[in-house]
Amino acid sequence: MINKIKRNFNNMSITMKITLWYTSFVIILISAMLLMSFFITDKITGDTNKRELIKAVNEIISDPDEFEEFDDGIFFLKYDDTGEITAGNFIHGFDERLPLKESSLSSYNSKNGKFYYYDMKIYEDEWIRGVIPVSKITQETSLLSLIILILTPLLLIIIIYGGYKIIKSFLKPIEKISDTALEIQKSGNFSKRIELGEGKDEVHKMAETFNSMLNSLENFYLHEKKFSSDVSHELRTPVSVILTESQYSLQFADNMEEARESFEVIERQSKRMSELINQIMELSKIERKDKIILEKINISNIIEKIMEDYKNLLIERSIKINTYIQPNLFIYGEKVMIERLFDNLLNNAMKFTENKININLYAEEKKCILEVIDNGIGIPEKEKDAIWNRFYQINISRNKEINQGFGLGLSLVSKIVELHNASIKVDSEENKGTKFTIIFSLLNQG
Amino acid sequence: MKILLVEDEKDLNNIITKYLKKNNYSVDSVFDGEEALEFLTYSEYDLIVLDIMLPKMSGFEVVKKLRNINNGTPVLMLTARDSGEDKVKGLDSGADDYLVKPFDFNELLARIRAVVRRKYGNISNIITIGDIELDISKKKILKAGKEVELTGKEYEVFEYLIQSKNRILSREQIKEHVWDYGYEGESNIIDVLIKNIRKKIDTENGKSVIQTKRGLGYVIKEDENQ
Repeated sequence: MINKIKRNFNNMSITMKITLWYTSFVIILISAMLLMSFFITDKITGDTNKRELIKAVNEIISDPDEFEEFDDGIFFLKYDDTGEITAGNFIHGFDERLPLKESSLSSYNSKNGKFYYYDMKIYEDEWIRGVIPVSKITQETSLLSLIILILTPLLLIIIIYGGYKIIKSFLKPIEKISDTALEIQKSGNFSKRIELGEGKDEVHKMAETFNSMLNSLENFYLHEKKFSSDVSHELRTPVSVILTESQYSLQFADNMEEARESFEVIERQSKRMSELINQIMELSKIERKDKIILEKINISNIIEKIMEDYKNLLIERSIKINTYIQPNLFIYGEKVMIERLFDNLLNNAMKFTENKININLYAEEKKCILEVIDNGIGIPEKEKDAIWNRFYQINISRNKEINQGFGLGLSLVSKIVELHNASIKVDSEENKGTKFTIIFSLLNQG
Repeated sequence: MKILLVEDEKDLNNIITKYLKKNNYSVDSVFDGEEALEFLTYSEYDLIVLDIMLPKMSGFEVVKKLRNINNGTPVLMLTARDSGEDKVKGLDSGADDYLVKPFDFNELLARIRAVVRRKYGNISNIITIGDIELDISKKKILKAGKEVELTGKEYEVFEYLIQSKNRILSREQIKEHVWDYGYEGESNIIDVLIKNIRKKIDTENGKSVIQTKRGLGYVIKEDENQ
């Protein structure tokens, strides 16, 4: 039985639960108050009666000649010594034969109601008894009771109905929130928002929070969508080449020479694909990291070593290189990432430079500054923010002959900079060149 | 049939060109949108195979510009994005069909045939003129049920004539549609080819399927061959 009630209660809507909860309490409270008020009026009435009774009897005693059988709602009886009534009338519902007690107030209950009576001796052989029926409450109190009896249910209805309405209107936005969430889940459309209109209460605040969460979710979703579409785009072209080339070769190649040509193309495109996959994996690995373990590293040595590695390639491409590397500069960093960062910037510069690259590394006011400067095509002003996006490539460089990149390098650079709490800025003028400046915090030298 | 291929990926451009040529199409290959428009102002094509992501000018812009100057050459778009948006945008900007990379080459060929067929108002890949039957998808010609062997160029000329049946085609037009942009051949090459085709297809006593219109060119007439 209890379990059943419990189950039913759990299945109810919050509106019903709250309504039920406060309704029962209001009913209990009002009943208690009503009981109390009846009790108190009863008590007050009783006390008044008693006082009046005693006062009236005393008055008679002080002036026994003025005896009246009935006065102001009080009956009076006169007894002699033996308990026989000598004056006064029969009182309906009261037993006149109750024993006399000097100066004592007693009550008597019969089926016709409750009485108080008060006895006093006038002379040695004469008694006065005052009797007041107490069942008769005063007219005021009875009016009050009537008002209470009518008003209480009315009040109860207003309280319950009003409360129900308010709760329902408070909970309506929550319903809207869950509806919106459901809609998004069904349609996968992250552009939906909860529209509650103006308001400053908790629910509006909650909806606002919910909406801003949806904003960041949508951004994330769009970002990921674009990324996967870019990835698939970049992969589709090499796959197309490989597929078509092998189909063609299978169908038409009738000597080793022709087949070899096809294999060369297939190999080139497969390498490109695998390079892209590697870069994507590396980028996503770094992007997943929130923190890296930084240790004291000699950045001067790192840069110098990489420059050494690139020496021959730079000569081969007849790029003139000027380096100024201040020795033994230390920063907190991760060696492999710093290598990757510089490698990417240098590669980038080599791709776009006309014929000259400057590399500078120096200390300045507790900062360690790394500059990579080329004299290439530069970056148009309006695209300066876009260069950090994944798969961004400057339009001209889309021609695959000049540029074999994917547009992931600078994304990686900016992520590494972020993980090192460093900052990067780019100064560029079209057809003059580009300068990347990275600023690390410098540790004490040595 | 002559196709303009616009694709910036060099390897892909190469292999599609090779493949199309093997399938008896004449192909001009270019690597960006501007170049494509240039070729289109100087030469006539039966079809443009157009990549969307191109340097300088996107495939969408190329089609738009083409349609703006009232050039109705059919366009088959190659897209590396399979989102519905791109397909809709491509078709709405004036393309006739699209294909998502990576594609099966046989599908590309089938789509090319379908688009060209529609351009000439033919409803099937098999066109019949009298007792001659041309199956475009198989590149096969049957004369009274017997197969006729034509060389690549002969076939191209014959297919062009039969696709545009009932239309008189000038020697210049035929040359445009059968040879690449750079071809500087003998002026009587078409006459030579037509002579060869006639030798292989026509019966000894009957009149030729291909009629000569003096001073105008050649035509294959449907009704007169019924």
